[in-house]
Amino acid sequence: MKFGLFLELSVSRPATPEAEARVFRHSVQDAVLADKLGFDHVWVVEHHFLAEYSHSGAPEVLLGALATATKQIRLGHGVVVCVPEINHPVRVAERIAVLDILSDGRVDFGTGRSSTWTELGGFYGDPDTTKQSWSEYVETIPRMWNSPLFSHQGVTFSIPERQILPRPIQLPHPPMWVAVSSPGTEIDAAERGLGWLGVNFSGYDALAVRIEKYRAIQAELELDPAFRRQNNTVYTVNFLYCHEDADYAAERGGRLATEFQYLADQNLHTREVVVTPAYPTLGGIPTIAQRDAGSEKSKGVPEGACVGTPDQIVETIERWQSIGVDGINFIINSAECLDAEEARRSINLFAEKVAPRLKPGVVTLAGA
Amino acid sequence: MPLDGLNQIDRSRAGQLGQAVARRPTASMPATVLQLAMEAPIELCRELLPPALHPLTPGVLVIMAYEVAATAERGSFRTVEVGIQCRAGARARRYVLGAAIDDPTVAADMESRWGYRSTVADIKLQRRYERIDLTVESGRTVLQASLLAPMPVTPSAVLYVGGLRPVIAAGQPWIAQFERVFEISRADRGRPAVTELDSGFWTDGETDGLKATEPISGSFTRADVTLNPTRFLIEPGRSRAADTRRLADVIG
Repeated sequence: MKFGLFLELSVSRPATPEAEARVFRHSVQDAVLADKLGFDHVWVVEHHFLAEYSHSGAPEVLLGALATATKQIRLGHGVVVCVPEINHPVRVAERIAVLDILSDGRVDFGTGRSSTWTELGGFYGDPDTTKQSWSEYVETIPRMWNSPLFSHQGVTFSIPERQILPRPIQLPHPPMWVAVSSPGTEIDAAERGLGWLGVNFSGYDALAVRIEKYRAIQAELELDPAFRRQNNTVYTVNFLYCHEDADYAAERGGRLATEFQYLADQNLHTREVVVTPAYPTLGGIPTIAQRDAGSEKSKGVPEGACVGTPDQIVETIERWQSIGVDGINFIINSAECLDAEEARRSINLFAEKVAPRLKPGVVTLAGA
Repeated sequence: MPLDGLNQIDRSRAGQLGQAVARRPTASMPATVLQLAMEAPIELCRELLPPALHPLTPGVLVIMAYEVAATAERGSFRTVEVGIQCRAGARARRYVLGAAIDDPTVAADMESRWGYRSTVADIKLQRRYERIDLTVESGRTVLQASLLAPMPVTPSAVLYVGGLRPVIAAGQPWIAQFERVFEISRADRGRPAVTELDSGFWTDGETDGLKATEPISGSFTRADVTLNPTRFLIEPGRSRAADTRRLADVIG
């Protein structure tokens, strides 16, 4: 079992320059701590215009800082929005490669297409073509890194013959992932040999069926080894609040989950307002509704959340493991609804009393 | 800091929900339905929503027009709503600011049975090969909007979110669920355009600043529409979490 942090860079209103700077500073400190505690990944999301929910408009810059501030932890650049109006594919290839060099081969490349009109509309992106542009990026970027000269006449972008520089350390490419929220995206991932980077919250049963399908497709996949390396890994996202007192953990973890979902509720999902078959679901909204239904007894803690005592969290993670999940990325704070030190006590306790029982060989630094 | 609505429901402009309330769904009505979604200033949306609801970023103005066919039980009539897309708790909803109906009998029935206030106005919905035009006139033109370049699309691409309306029930202001069920048999989509929007008319004089800014998307469907009875009310003043009650528990 592998563990990571998801850094959303959420900032409560009013987002003063001081508040934003504090969130960025704390996020760097959290990543450095996770590195020391033996976490496997730290992911920095890319979002634009999502006030409060995520102020992470330039993740490549933050990841550059983390490349020098950390030693072992892998740096997840993800997900990069694979839409030409937002990120030109050559610029994506270049910055992933630079980050891989600076981090000595520690980059993971997450891909996606954005689920919100807030973002797509802000760049005048066309929701009809984002799945196509994402697919084109995923296919061509590894070729950019493994061809002496590259040219492409495509559907969503074209490039005359050029040398794409620099190349990443990890060849044929850093591990590649795709953000999976809508049912069906896991099939897109499997057909392309991409890791499953879960970005919304779902229950055990629904996920188990989808993982089974994903694995079956991956098992029959053949990729050109000159350009592609298969990633058959399933990571899900989760909240983490670990405390010796179960009631206290539920109260604080519930607050964390509620705050996060509240911020997410402000985003305008493409499906809600754009008439297109390209976005068949509302993204995270149905999951939020499920949380509401169970909130009376669970204090806002969704099913399967890593909230509770060390024993409770071990049990929860073992259940995720049993349905085929290989790793979990944790959200440990949201718009600083928890004091930064309180969130760090939670991950310290997790590293001391949970991780070693699920992941032999983990480094534990109690009190780090 | 929560991004909640700031408006208090004006009792004089809310419909009354009493014992005459509809207890069962209407018969299915064959209709054509035009829906236009445009971006709108978020601060304005915030000023027009009650605290129990919160706007989205960016703000979204939604215009919906229905033309019910002559074969329907009540005969042919047209209705237009102007509203704001929002959240009630975690749920996607559309808060109706103002409505117009072209048939006084239907308007009166809607008010007494659903607490749905509207203004009687002339409504025209005209389909042309390259556009669908909507015009509402009430002494002057209060809305002129179009769906440009309509093209067929799978009906499942169209989403109608549940509506909400301000009402008075048991002497207190509430937000009432206004739930229609659509069985869509054909759908077109296109680009929305709003050339005239009389803010004072659609907000009952509350603001003259309501406007559509950027176009988002629009649809024109043929659907069988059923209007369900109002079952739930939301307490309008409580922020961040929608406090929902059964209508039957409120009015008996």
